[in-house]
Amino acid sequence: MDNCQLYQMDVLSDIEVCGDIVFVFAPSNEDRAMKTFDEYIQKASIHSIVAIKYPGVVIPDRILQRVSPDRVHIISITDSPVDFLISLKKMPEEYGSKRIFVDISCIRIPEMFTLIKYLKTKMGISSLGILYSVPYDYVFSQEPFTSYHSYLGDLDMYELLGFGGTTNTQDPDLYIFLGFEESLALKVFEDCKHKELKLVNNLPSFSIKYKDICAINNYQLVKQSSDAFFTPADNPFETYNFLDQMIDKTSPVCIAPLSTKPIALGVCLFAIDNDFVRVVYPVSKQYNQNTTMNTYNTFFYQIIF
Amino acid sequence: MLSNLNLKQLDSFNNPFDEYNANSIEPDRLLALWCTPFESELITGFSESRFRTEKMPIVLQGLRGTGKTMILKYCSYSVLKERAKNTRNGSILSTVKREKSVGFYFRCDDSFINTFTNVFSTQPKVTWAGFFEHYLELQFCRHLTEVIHDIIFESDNPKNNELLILENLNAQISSILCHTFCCLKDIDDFVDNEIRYIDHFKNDVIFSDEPFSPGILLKLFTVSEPIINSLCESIPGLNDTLFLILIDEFENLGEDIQKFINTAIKFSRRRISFRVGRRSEGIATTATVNDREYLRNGHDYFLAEIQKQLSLKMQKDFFRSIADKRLSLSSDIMHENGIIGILGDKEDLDNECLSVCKGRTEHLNLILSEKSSLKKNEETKKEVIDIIQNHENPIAETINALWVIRSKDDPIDAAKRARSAMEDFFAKRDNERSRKYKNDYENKYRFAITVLISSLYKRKKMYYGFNAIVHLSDGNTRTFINICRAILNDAFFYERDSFQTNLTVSRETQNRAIYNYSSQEFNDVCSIIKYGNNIRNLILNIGNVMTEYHRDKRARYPETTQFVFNRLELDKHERDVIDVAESWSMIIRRSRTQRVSAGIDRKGDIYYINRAFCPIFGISYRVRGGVNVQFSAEEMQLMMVSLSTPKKLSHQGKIKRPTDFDGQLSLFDGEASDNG
Repeated sequence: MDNCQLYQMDVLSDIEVCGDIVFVFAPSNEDRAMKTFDEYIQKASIHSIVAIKYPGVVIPDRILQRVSPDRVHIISITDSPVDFLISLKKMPEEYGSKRIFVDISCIRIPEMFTLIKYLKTKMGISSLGILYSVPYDYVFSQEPFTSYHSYLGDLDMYELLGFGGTTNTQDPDLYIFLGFEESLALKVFEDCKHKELKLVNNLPSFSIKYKDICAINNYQLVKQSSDAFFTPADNPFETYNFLDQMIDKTSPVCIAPLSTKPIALGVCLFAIDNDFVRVVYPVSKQYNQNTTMNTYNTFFYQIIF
Repeated sequence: MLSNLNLKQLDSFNNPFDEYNANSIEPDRLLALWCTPFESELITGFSESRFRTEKMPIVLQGLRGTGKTMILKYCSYSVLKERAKNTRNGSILSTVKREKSVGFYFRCDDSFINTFTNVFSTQPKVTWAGFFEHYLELQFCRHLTEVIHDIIFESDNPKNNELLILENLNAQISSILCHTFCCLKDIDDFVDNEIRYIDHFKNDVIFSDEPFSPGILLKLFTVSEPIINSLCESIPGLNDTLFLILIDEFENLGEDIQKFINTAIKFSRRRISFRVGRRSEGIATTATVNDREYLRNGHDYFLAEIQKQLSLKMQKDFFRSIADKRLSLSSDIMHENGIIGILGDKEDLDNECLSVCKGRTEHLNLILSEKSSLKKNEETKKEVIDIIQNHENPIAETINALWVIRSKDDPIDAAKRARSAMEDFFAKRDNERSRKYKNDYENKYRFAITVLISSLYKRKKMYYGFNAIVHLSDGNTRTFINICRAILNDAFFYERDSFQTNLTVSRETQNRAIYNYSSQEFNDVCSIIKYGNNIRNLILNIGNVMTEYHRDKRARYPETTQFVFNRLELDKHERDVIDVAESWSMIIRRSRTQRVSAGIDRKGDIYYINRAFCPIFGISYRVRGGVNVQFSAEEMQLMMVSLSTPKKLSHQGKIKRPTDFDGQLSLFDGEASDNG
């Protein structure tokens, strides 16, 4: 039992956020983007705000009412992942000694991975509060099965910055955590040389139908593999445990976290602890601004490094 | 934690076509499934042995799915080791000596290249391509040490051979590396440490502000060539062995790295050569790092092109050998006639039309109404139908109807002549009319009429049988394997009992699987490629135009599937879209420039939509000469941005009046087709 660790995962309304905190989030046009800031963080004393600004997003004025402008650090996202890292490096070092809360609801997966690794390795933080607002539903422009589109335009494949794994002469096993869009999974499948393909769906998913939507939309890939694996959509720690159980740590592995943010968080934590893991993700230059509707609830995950 | 289910179909079968992506096929399976493309006309000018031992670098060019990866991997060391296992003594050394070459496969992953480029883009441009060179050299060295280990392990006196190699190697590299290696493990450690540092830099150091500072920054071949020389000079029989760097998906590399590889190709070494797999010329540069020298085919490299328009017989032979090999390795599906026994050979168009028409004459009515004199006179039309109809052969009666509407004579007389020609043809009476009828029936209109009849009865033309699948695959091995795979999966699902009993698949199931594969492949590729939406629009619009031609009740341009446009009139973005569409085989340019269309005495590039997508539009998969649809630059631009299909059939053959002269000579302006 020496290597066991209990994890903390709560609904945010059940806990009290207090202390002098650095709040990191990405404002967006989605309802849930400001949910945590507006409703739960009110009681806490905010030392500083780090706002990750994606193209086309306007930073709401009301964040300036909570802290003075010199305590608001805005990171504008460009096409280059390295630019994001350069911007992170400009954050004051004193943030490392504060309690840091990251609302990952609207931070895209590539930035989320780089951010968390940066906070751990460069800022040297030992714990991190992660917040995630579960959407009430996703936006399906037409029928609720195949019409979800998160991006516009073309996809480019990237290894996530800081998650290149270790070079190996063997081909890796490829784990794809399935999302609603098969094009993302196909892009990964096409690009990544691999030995075995492992597809992972959500169970339980945020809503019962979501796991079926994932299966329907990834039909071409599901047909390729007779193995079906599942992790809970809202639980990064179970994702971590799943990977820990499944992965032979002497063989290379490549993971594409195309599913929910909490699952991606689990992949991120696992990859930070296991540097041989390569994480890849298809990136577009243009994204739909509104892909979710309302907020169901907000989870709080206490991460101890 | 939830326990994970491992869902296996209890009553499943192993589809012999499941392994279709050479990227994920294990070396032993790759060898088992290998059907050499070198003995057919698929790759002209190269035998398998020459491809492996030619000292001049070779660029292997072919469309997506044509088997480049399979060929390059077949030449790789991992597959060589499998070949060695199959020899009498199982010796790797003997196999290397016999084959006289060892290849090392490198695939240019988009994700790796994008991130590598991004991470090192913060370094000065003059040096960051050097980091890639350093990385490639280390990877090459790592592969080489594996070979040395294997060969020494097999030898009679491993320790002695190791010392010989090290002595030789140290003499060559001690001044470069400033240290010597005491044992092979030292080389492994050196290479591993340097690679580990690059991984560490990419993954961790990048988060700090430390510069990239490896122990030593290697140039390509500074260590690898001495390792090769030491091996070849120390082990008898390896002196003339060629070491190949096999680079796949070359087009994924950025221009800087392409230039670097091109430079290495131009100045390749005595015992080292390159085999580069790429899709097409349009998306790869031939420039070298000095910007004045370019690679030239025949001087710096040989181009081995996987033929696009291989003869149908060659395609059939090659695909049949692939399919039958897979079936022979399968324990679940064994048909004495192989794939043709399972799928059937050719489509039965007569039977297909019969099952669509079901004795009805509506198609004759609609076709005859194209002639204005018959459209106005129902009674004469009915009389004509009575004369020309042949309930047992809808294709023949439709040809009769076409003869009637094309004749300037009295419709009743024309109908009688057509009837007479039909009867002479079926009775094998040789005369001028029966010969013309034979050509129309057996060749010219047979397929076109099947498509037309299907469309008139709101049905889709069916696609089934080995012949159709070979046509749809159009030389693309991956498409062929995928279609076979889809058909067998569907057969197992929809008609399991009859499939398992008879080992044949009904044409309905084949057609369904082919149609689903076709539309799925189209959507999948459009969703992942650059300019995917532009290409989707373009192909849908062009396909719709071809459908319009196929549904022409007068069947004036049977089986029109090719199109032309003037590339020079397109702007850069549109040319880029065309390049990507070509590189992903969404549209295919015919190998040779040809007359752009019947009646136009100018040559140009002729294109067609990937044949695999024909079922989406219900159009022919065959190539017919004659009319090709001409698109102006404006039409091409419009078709890329929206689903707005131009009406081409009604304008076919009409003279396009030049508008304002824009100073650019057009290939097509003012031309008229004589086929109207």
